[in-house]
Amino acid sequence: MARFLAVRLSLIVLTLVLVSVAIFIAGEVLPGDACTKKLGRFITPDSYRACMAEWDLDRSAPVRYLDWIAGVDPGDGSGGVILGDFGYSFNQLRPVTEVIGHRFWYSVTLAVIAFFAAVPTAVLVGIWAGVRPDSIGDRIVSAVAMVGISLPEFVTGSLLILILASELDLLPTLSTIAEGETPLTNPKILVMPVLTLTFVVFAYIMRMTRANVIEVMQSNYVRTAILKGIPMRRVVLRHAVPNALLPTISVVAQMSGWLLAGLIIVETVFSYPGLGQLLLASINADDQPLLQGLVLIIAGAYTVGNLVADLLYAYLDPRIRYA
Amino acid sequence: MASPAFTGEIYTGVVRSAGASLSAVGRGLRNFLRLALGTTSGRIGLPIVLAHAFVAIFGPWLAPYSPTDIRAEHQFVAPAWKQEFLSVGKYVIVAGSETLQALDNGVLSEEFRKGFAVASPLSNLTDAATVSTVQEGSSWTLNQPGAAPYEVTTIEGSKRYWFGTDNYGFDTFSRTLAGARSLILISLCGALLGIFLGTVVGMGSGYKGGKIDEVVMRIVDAMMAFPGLLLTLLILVTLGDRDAPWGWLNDQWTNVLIVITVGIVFLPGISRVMRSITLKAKNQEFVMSARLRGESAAYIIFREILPNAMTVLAVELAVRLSYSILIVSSLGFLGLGPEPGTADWGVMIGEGRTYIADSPWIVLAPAGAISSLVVGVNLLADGIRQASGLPREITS
Repeated sequence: MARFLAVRLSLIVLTLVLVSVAIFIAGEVLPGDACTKKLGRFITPDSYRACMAEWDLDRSAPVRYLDWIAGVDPGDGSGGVILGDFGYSFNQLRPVTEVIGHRFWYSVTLAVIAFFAAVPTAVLVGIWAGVRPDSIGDRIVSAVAMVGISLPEFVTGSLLILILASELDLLPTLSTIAEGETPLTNPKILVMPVLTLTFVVFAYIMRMTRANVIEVMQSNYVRTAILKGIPMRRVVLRHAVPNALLPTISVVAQMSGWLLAGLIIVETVFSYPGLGQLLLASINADDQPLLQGLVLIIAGAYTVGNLVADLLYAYLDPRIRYA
Repeated sequence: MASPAFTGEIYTGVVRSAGASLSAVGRGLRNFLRLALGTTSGRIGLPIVLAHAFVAIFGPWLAPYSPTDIRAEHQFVAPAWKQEFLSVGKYVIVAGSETLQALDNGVLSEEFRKGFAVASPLSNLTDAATVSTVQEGSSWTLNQPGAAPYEVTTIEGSKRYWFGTDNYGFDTFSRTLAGARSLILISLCGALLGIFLGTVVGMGSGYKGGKIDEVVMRIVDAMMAFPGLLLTLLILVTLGDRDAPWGWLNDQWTNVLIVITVGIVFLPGISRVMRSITLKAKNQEFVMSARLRGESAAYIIFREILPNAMTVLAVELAVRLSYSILIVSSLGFLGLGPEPGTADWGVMIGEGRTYIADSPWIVLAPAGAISSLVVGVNLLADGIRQASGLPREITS
């Protein structure tokens, strides 16, 4: 187990290093350098040089990369990414960590609530539908899940706004957060974003669980258990479900990636001030340091999510651990 | 699960044939139809997909208006089905606003305002005129607010926009029809590129085996550890603003980038599936005998093993197509795909959501189109998978 953990952890570090190099190079090849854009038509050779010097852009790319990651240049007082310092935002002239600020927790709040609303219900409904395939109930649930995997988040979100906010007037159209408030002090704004994310995640996990349960229920050992006269309830819960849930766990890990991608869209649909919305804003504003920091944070969250799922999988399935 | 009408023979190597003749194409089509129509899902999904394909090909000719036909005076016109409220009767112009008001009831409803917008090209309104028909092309000038009542008898013009018009004054129906082609084409190209790359990498790596396989699979693992939409965003941001490497490509450069990124995002998942098929087929007799005949690796991979994977590829293609539609339309919605104002479903929803409270049809038409397309593709994928008895694999 220790070796397994060591291999997985080193893979995470490797992935993050690759991501950081990739995102840095992406910034390098952007057309037109940052200072030309920033100064706009007020540009003079002097102001350009001053700007380049101020943002350390006059030095070679490898030096700047190392400074960004490890803060090797003591002059600018930056500690580097490894110490949690992501540098300064170009446009807002504040530290990236300050710009991100509460938004990180707002996004986490949204993702965590959606995750815990969707996964248990999806697994339960999946098991329920899987033990009675092709019944009326199964068909209805499967149809709902089919719609869930087919509707893009921005369509689901827009329809929810139309029905719940615009027509029925139950909820606010936009999920903005006022000064001095948090999502939890005004939970109304969370309802539609959570519903949108939950619908997608529910559909995928429910389909996966259902398919696995159907497959396991047809296996010989479950048939034996049924023929032995063990009550059906016990057959399902003790014999079938533990095996059927194993592949579901890896899908749950993939869902963490879907959730992150979904956040970008859902936060845009509802104007929810989270990381996804900030990412899009930093893209539109050409704010490289902010964009780089956000991508690293999102990639980090994604890989950690994958690691947790891997560990859970290995814990539940000894074949992986000792392979 | 429904009993499979056709048990898959993909791993046993029965369907292999070397001849790429016309009869092979016919047989492939027959096989596909048998699989697609073998289950209820497929029987519902295939017609939906075919209908969308029809619109993608012929949409621009079916559309009542050109998607570039902007009429500023026709903004936010309500769709035909929303206009029952504008009944025959007497109306007055409310002072200071461009609205008509029913004479006998003082309250002006929101619906009424929209209905009026439809009736806006009222023909040459003059004082106390009786509007008998509404003619196309005539403009509305509000010269005397609070003038004498106008009598509206028929509103022919209101039937002109089935799904209303949007914030530009485009006909929503025409714009939706026109949006099918680019979305389906880009998504299909992305999915096909992913299938191609994944097949080459997966089958090559699996067939060669050894160190090469080891290294390639580690790289594939690393690629899987990166969220797809994020990768797509980054590539578009980095390369999207630049000029295309070849001038003639400039118009399509964003689309080309989207296709390439979707292909790269799909590579790891597909290559894993194709690798496992190759590994299973590798030690079977028909591959052995081909090897003993002295056939090249490429021949064995593409002419001996690949034909056995066609069913899997058909399912993969359908599943990937649905993902790819979701990605491509999401990019349009986020404003990173086609230009604003383009006839693209994602762009339409992204622009229309600002006006969703007053003019929901701007969003509803493309939303319905995109939803039905993806549902159709997913149903088709499910149908083929069930009919061919393939295991239900969730791919990423």
